[in-house]
Amino acid sequence: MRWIDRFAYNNRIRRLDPAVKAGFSLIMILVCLGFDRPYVSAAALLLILILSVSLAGLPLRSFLKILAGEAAFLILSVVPIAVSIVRPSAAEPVPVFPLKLLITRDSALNALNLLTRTLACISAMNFLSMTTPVVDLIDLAGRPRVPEIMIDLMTLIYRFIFTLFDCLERMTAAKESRLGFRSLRTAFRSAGEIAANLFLETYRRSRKLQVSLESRCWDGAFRVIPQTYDPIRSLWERAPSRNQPVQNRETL
Amino acid sequence: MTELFFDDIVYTYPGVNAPALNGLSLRIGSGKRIALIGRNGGGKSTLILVANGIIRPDRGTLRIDGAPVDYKKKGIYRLRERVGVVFQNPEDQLFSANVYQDISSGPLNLGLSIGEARERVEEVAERCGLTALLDRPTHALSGGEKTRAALAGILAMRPEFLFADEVTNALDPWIRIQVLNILDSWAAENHTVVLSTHDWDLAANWADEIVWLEKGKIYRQGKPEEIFPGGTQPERYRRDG
Ligand SMILES: Nc1ncnc2c1ncn2[C@@H]1O[C@H](COP(=O)(O)OP(=O)(O)O)[C@@H](O)[C@H]1O
Ligand SMILES: [Mg+2]
Repeated sequence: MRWIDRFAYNNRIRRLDPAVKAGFSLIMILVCLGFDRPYVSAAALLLILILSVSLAGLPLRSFLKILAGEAAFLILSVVPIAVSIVRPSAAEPVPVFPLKLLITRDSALNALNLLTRTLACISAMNFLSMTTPVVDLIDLAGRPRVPEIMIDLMTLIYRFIFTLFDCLERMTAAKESRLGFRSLRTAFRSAGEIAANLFLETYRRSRKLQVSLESRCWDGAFRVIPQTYDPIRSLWERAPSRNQPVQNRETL
Repeated sequence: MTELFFDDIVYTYPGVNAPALNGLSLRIGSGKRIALIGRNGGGKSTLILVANGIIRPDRGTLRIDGAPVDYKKKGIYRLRERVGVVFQNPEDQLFSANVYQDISSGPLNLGLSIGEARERVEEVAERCGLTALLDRPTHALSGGEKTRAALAGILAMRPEFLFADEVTNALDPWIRIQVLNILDSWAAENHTVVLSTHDWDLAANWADEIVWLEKGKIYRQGKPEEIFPGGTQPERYRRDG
């Protein structure tokens, strides 16, 4: 997740209005689902790939690596669609193998179609998450009338998911250093203790956060300055971003 | 002349026998750098929570410019506009997804317009050396950067009294100087800065005045040379009891 976050902050269309990027992803997904043809999906996949590399400047290798990871899962679930298991009929001579694997033209096409379509949709989502920081997505969600409470929750979840991971890592390391996972039984005990601690720690933090929010005159609603973005025409005008100065290109 | 006056404050945490603050009286005038020292559990953090109206004393009164603090919603907001607090762990104070948004929240809570809030964010980012980090997600900051971001979030509200609870603790020497410079620049503009610390050398060199708390009371108070007449080696000050 940190990895994706890093791309989101360091790509060439970082400052582009998230509505444009989300709109593009959405259109790609709708096209793939609407036409439902392998070659349409393949074309969409290719387009997304080209834009990710040429427009957003994402490294091709990383894009493919992430996609490959997702594809591995997909292929596993597509195989049963392509292949069906049949029991040999009684008319046949004594079978060498009691079951037969069968791939028909239809089932193969079906599987291929499903695979390309899903891959294209996933890569559209990858494009969005690798070019758009979560702050911008939350900001985008706040534009239509999404209830404020949802926006606040999204902000907090994003903010603290990393804190929780860190906390979990620290506690796991502490347990490991004391051989807490030596046998299955101690492992279960350790996991239980870690979970309980994590819960308490979360509670403690939420109390502290509330105190510090109150000290800043918080009255129940998070007020922050909305983000500013480059409009879509910046794509062809190629002017450097003027809104906020382009900040930290170094890795996060 | 603005003044914050802790008038005979007593406070005991629920479920605890010994009071955390036990009849503490302290006047804090404007335009000073004050170091708050004393052993762990002496009541420094509790005093800071009282100053901000987070804790309401069991007995005694917090007065600002002579008037007792009104603990209704409006009165508390008025207190917090004037008294800002940076807590011990900056991690607990940053709630927004990025630094810019986090700093902007205080000024917006004060009712400033987005334009005014923007100006404040940029000015305070400059002061705290955060200009290049405004775009960063808060979770991707280092410890020193988190401290400065938390400080910036409070300074953006322009408090007359700034309380900082052990903020220089876990910082490397360079960042520490940077944070102290930020506090100094705030004090130089005729604001009061109260810094709690366990570092006696820091207290002696930095502060105009030292307040030493023990067991929820003021143990000693005065200029650094009055508090540490023979230097800051702890062996010289063996405490009884
Ligand atoms: N949340 C709390 N609940 C119960 N007791 C507390 C709490 N916070 C502090 N105390 C107690 O209050 C006393 C003063 O603590 P504190 O103000 O944190 O001291 P200091 O900041 O000087 O180390 C200590 O005895 C401490 O144990
Ligand atoms: Mg403390």
